[in-house]
Amino acid sequence: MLINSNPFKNFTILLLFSVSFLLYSVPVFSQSSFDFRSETIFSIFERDTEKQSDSLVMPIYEYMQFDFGNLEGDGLSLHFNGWGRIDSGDSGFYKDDPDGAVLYAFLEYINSSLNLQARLGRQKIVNGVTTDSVEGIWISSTPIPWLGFSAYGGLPVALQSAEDRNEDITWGARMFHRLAAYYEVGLSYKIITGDLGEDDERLGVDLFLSLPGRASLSGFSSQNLVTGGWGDHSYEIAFYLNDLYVKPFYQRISYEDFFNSGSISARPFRFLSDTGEILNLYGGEVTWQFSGGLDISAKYNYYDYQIREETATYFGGLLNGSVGKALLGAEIGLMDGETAENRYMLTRTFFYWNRPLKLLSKGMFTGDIVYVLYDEKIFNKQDSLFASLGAGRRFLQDKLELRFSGQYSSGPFFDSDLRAIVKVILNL
Amino acid sequence: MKKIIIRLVCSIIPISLFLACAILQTDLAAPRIHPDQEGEDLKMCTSCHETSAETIVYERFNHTIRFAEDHGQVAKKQGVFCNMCHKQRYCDDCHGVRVELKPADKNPIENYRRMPHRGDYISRHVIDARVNPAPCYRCHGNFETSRTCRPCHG
Repeated sequence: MLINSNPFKNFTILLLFSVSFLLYSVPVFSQSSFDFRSETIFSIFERDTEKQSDSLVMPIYEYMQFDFGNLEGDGLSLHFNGWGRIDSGDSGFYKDDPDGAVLYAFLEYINSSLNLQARLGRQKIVNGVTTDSVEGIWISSTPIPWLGFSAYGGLPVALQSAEDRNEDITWGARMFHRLAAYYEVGLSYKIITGDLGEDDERLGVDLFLSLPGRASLSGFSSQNLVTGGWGDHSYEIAFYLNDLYVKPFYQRISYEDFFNSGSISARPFRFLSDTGEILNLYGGEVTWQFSGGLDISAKYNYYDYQIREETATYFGGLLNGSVGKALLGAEIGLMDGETAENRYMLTRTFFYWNRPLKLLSKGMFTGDIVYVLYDEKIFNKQDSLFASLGAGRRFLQDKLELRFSGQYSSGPFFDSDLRAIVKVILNL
Repeated sequence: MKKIIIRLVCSIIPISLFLACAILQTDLAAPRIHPDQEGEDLKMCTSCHETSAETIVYERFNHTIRFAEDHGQVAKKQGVFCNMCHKQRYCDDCHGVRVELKPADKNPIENYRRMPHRGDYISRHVIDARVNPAPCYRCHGNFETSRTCRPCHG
């Protein structure tokens, strides 16, 4: 619900705040608790705008989240997360963007004896084939240990400001069958429909199967019920070989069925459906976790395109290690397409030094460098470099935190880009 | 009258079965908040728990070095276990419909989290999107979440 939106949304906010006040007033909720977090972010950088080049952009963000009610046990609780922004400069950089948004604002009811959970308001729905933000109701229950369901209905948040679309509604459900932690299979459905037509209607199947020897098989498939084809399949097997964690995987994406070509979809993706491309992705990752706090991981992806008749590969290596209270890490990524424009090499290294010394037991220091080398020049530039240094300090039994970050970036789009960020976090 | 009775019976039977089953079952619900275990490594569930228990395979929730990119499947199926430590706010940093700041800029000094799009991603995204546009679409596939795409892509 973007700020300054329609009366229905304002009414929803008013309703939630009224219920919050009632919860607070009624003695039966005297055990209610309140959890509050504020993140205020001051940032400064330069951008070219319609008004002038190298215009100073100085946004101030406030991200606020609170939870109120019975937060640890059964009963009612209210949850809110939203943000607002002002530009303390006069760059006009944000003139086409909303100045804030409510990310979620919902009432929740939990009854553990019935294994029932229900939410009313704006919320993120993660329900099988659905991962959408919805203004409406969601209910989930596992009435029998081996059978459960969840269902939702309401207005799709992401489409409320979409041009040409109105009167959209969405609903969906997921039902699953589970046998302890041995296996779970789920069937899910979602639809988004409006006056304009061009509906999005999908069916999903998800699976988890525990195999002997600390191994498991998991994955999902989704079918586009409008086009009638399978949109994507994604399956992986995970197992251990002594200290090695191994995970081969397979994905198949049919562009015609996975992407939506209508107004429900964002413009940059609409044409993809018409290409009819089918991508098969084979790969695997291996992770080695040492007891001394050293983690090493390697990942390999092989992309095979049916229409383009091309292939590409990606190799990624990761290394994390602890030295005292410092966490050190390095990463390498090699993307290797058949053409030069699809190749790059990425390297990254970082340190995160938390509560470094007795004298600085409330502090933290961080830094990282990301360097990317492109095989083909982009805007006449072959590489890009990003470097950052950060520091932070905690106060008032860690309830208040002050953080600073300075960043430098140079690449095809910016010769030399500097950014400073100050963040104040308050937890109550 | 006959229709009313049939409708009543059809309504009451499933509701009664649901309530009966729900009341009879035990120990399915996870606690809402993970108990505070000072000094323990909460990121690795199996440092305290067995690899698997009644309704959860703890091993799948271990925050290994690649968990930032691998958590999707477990979060979708058993998000209730994620919520024991993480509030929805934590997920919204990356998955919120309209957060404006990219995750790496909202949490600039938490560099160990391998936040998406760290550094000069505006150059790199061209190649990543050509190679596999599906991950882009999952997060930026609708009108509201594609605001960052629009200045260049319309």
